[in-house]
Amino acid sequence: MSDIKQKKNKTWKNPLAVWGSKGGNHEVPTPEYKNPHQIWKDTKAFKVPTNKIGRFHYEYKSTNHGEKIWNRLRWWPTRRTILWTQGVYNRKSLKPEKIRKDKRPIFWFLSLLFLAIVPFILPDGYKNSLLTAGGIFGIYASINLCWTLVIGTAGIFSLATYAIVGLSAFLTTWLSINLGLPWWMLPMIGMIVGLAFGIIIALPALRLDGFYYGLLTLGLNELCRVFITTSHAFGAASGGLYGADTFINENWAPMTQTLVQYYSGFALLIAALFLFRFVDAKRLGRILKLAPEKKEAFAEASGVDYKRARVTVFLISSIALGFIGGFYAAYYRGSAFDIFSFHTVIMGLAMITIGGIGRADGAVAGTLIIVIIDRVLVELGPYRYIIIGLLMMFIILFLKNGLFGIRKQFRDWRDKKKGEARSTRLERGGEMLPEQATETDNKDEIYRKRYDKMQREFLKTLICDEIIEEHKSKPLGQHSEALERVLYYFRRGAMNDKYVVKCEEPFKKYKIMALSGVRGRSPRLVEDKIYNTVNEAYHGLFLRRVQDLMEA
Amino acid sequence: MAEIKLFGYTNKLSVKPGENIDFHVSADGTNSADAQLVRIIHGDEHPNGPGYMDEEIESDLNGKWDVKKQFTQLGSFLRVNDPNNLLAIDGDFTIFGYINPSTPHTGAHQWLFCRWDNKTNKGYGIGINKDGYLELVVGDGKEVDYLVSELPLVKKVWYFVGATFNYKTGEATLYQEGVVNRYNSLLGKVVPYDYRSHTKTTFRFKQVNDSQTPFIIAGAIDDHELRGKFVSGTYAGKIDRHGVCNKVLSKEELDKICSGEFPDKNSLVAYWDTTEGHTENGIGNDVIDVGPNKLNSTGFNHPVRCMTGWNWSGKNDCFRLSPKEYGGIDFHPDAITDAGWDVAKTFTLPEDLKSGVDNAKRESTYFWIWYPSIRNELNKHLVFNDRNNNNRISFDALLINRRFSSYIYKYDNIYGDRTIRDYIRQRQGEDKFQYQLRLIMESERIKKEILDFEVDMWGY
Repeated sequence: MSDIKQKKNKTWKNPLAVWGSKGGNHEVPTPEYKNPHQIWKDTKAFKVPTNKIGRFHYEYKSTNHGEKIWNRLRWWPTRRTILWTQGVYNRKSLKPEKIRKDKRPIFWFLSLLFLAIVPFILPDGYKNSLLTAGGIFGIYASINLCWTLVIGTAGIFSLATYAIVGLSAFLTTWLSINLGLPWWMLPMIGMIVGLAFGIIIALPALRLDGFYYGLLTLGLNELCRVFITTSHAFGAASGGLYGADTFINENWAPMTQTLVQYYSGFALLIAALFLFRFVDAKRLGRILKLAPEKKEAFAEASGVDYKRARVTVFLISSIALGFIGGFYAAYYRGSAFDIFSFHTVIMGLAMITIGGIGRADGAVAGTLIIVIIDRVLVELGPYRYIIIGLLMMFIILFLKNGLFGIRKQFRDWRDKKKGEARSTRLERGGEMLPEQATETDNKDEIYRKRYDKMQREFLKTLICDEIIEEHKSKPLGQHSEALERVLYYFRRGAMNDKYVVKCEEPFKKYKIMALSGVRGRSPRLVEDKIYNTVNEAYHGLFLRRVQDLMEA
Repeated sequence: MAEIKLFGYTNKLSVKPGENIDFHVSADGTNSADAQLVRIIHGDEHPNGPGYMDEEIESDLNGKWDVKKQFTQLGSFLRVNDPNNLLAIDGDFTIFGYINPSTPHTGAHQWLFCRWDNKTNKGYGIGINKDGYLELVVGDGKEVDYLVSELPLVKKVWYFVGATFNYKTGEATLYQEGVVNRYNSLLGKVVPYDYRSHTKTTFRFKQVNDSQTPFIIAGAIDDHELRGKFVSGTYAGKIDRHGVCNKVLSKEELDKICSGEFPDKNSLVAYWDTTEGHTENGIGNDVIDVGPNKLNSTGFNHPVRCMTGWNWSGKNDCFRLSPKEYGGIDFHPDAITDAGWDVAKTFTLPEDLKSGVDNAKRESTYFWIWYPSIRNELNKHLVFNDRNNNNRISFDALLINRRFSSYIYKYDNIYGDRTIRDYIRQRQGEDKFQYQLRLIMESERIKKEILDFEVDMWGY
């Protein structure tokens, strides 16, 4: 009743005074006006502070089809629907709505679409340098995807990735120069080189683990670098080997050349993504996910042939890396020694750690970040490496699995905080918290808990030495009102963790157990104490229940 | 070495001499067990009593038994008697029916109407998937193709569900409509749920039918290494009229069936009218197929019949008043009527084998107590009643109220302490049961005499 205005003055005027106020007051001082409805309002008011609880009410959700038929389109040769979509009823409004269970395909599609059209929206001034960097990004991202397959999916800590690419690039360039091979043969030959080299370095992976294997492959990388840089056949004098056949015609306009470079890199990235998808999420990847690090023995005992799967994944990615090497040679007309350098390995490692090891999105996004810092922000000079170092430092110190692990890390942290915050307010046998109330579908449970709490509070006041003594003298039979109330409450309790008497030997040995509350799961022994008569056991059980009641 | 567990039951609770009794035994961890027939003389182990006493009895039951692990079929379902495999449809089909699922979100797959083998993944059918959505499944033994509805099933609400499959084009559709009225479901029409869901897709695979798999309602065939074929994926909830057609019904045709019309007879393979066969005393386990092929189905583990159906108007409170509104059949995934184990041993009771209670030789009195002298003691001890733990009475109250059943076999009178058997003799040519009946009638006569005497004492 907010229309009743509060009076400012504190004087009461007699409304009948105009007819004379004989025998009555004309004006009297009075206390400040108080709204008589206020007490009613206060009593009715909901006093609990209401915060916005629940989840994601701002996310857009499409509605259902109702009477219309929903044609569930599939990706052509598979049984997968276009998006993993599920219709649900909104728990509050009961409105049907659709949720996308996995939103990653949307982000992938949008990102790749952006990469596909970016040459047409870039400002002219930066176009050339950005597109060149884009081509490099495509190649590096492809290499890193294959590397992620090795480190993440197969769990082999190999640092020889760039060695395979480099070796393949140098060999194919040499063959192209000396035998005059056309450009399209180079990736094919690169695949053979990759397979051969892959087999050689896969063998020690069966015997060496982790750090030692990393050192070994780093050594191999160094060996290749030293061999190539000192070998005259590979152009030790010129800092690289150039002159291979290429698919980029030098007679084209410079912008056309850049565009062809960019889109060929982009195509390579798409191919690498497909490879990743078909290795990581199909049979091989699933086998390896059954055998995570440090649980190999268990997986092996369960019949998972993880070693074979690891080597297969390693060889597949080696072949792919060889292909990329041949492509690299055809792309740059050759290769520089730079590809074998320690700097390249470290950069590659930075790319996959920043995004998150073992994830395709992590490998691609990490590559993008490093390529932008390293190749686009060239004017920063050596500070670029300090930025990369700081970035890596930050990610290793504060993030569990790179940038793309932030989501899970944040959720874990939030759940932990939520659990902590709740546990400080929750009490055993207490009421439900407001935010818990939204999480239960059975709203009767909220009131049941409140009722239960009230009853426990009352029963606590009944517990005294007298009723314990009474129960001790006679656990069964008619009891005093107070004891009977307490016993009724105890007997009515839920089945999980309910105490029961176990008869070990009739009339001689009794023990106290607690029921599991789950059908088919045996009760557990709560104490080793042996009671000689069943009445003693009844009383021991009663005392335990009393203790639980008083502690709550 | 596994823990040895033995479980068993007999086919009868009590037997008379000369009758057969079957023992059904399941064993874990062993394949032989020792048996010995005993007569229990005293079963209570209370230290104040004589303790546990029994005596071993010579019989051909004793000795080593061959036992094995046995399995129990849980859950009620209907199995269609289809000797000519008419339901093995290798072509277009439509399955439809009314359902009222009581727990669609169990986290396990529940089958509704299917001719499906879980082991070989062959056949077709509709069910409720583990997330609680309606699902059409077809399988060719290697690959399984499926279509899921748009919205989950709401529990305890009547739905009309259907699925069609075009064998040639592979086009599959799912049809799901709520048929809620004011009374039939847990929720009325005021609850703003939109139950409708119509989905379609094109399947990559087509069904291949086994000749052995039966068409099952509320379950599907499964296989286990030791157990052999059994039914799993059983369903919780009600099912009303349902049927199968061998052509693709259009949405309009399904709309008509949904509204209660009889389906088109030309394409009908089977249409089980769950209201057919109602009698005054209820209905049996057989569900009648009113279609052209008469493929009746039989209920196992007692599916509960005569439940309120999808068209229950809330007016008629008994299936006798309006049989057509009581087409619901209630299925429970944990229902059981007979474990159906193989018999481990059959035993014919010899004519001369005496039971523990009716043994004439053991009719000896332990001791006599003068009742008024022990009333104090009797009043202190409570009767154990496993039916009611709260309203406890003492033994004295129990005796005074005559809340026990008794059997009088002796009568103290001018003849002294003699049993009824002594003065009522079996007549020449009289049937044994006839004779026992006369004994009991004499016993009842004495009981009435005592009661009359007691009542007369108070008649002042």
